[in-house]
Amino acid sequence: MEIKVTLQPHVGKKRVKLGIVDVEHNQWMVYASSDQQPKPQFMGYIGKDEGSPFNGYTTYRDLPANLKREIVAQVEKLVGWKCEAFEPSTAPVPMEAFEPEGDDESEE
Amino acid sequence: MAVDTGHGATITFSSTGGTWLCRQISGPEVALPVVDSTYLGTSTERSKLPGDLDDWGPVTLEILFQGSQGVPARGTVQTITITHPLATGNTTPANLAGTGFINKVVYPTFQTNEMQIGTIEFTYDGTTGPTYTAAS
Repeated sequence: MEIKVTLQPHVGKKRVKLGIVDVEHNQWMVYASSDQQPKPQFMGYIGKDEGSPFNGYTTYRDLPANLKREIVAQVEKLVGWKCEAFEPSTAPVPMEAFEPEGDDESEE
Repeated sequence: MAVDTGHGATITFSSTGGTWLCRQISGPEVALPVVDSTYLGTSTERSKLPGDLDDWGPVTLEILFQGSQGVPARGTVQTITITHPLATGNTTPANLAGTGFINKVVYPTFQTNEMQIGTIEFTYDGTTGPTYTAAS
């Protein structure tokens, strides 16, 4: 699968006295597209300060490892530094979700 | 118009690396102060004016504490982005972003049969944003 990564500046909007203006957030929004999915899909953020980590979104987390490596490699090439990559973890199931076993006390 | 649960929302700190198992992000709150302009000659009701500046309240993250991960540093000003879950049909989720800093962390309480829960509190500093960008 051919992957293409693009960076877009993260720009928000804010209302001021003269109207609505752009607000630059000093980070890139990372998008990836492929030959099968040509529409760029949001993958995460990376700060514009050198050395900033890549913070992947759930769309990135759900990719297979080889595609993640390819995306991070292309991000590194675009920003010009080696970056650590983070992603939202799948949280362990909390203990209260389990029913205790063998606690039934029958009254026979 | 799409409605959704909060599952899948994420929070990122632009210069702080780490993965925290977040199970709740409190809703960011912004309020315009109400200024009491009542004086001795005011008749019938107290009078009030809208304040000049919005004031963003703290945001609290509830995390499943990991001994190997610890907690992030306080006081580092960086871009903090709350990203909403991605709705069907969208390629970019909604987000709220602005500069801010972590101002408080709470280490977990230890109890039998209970998860170790920590909290991280941050505050948007009002220097850049915060701005809300709708999903697209």
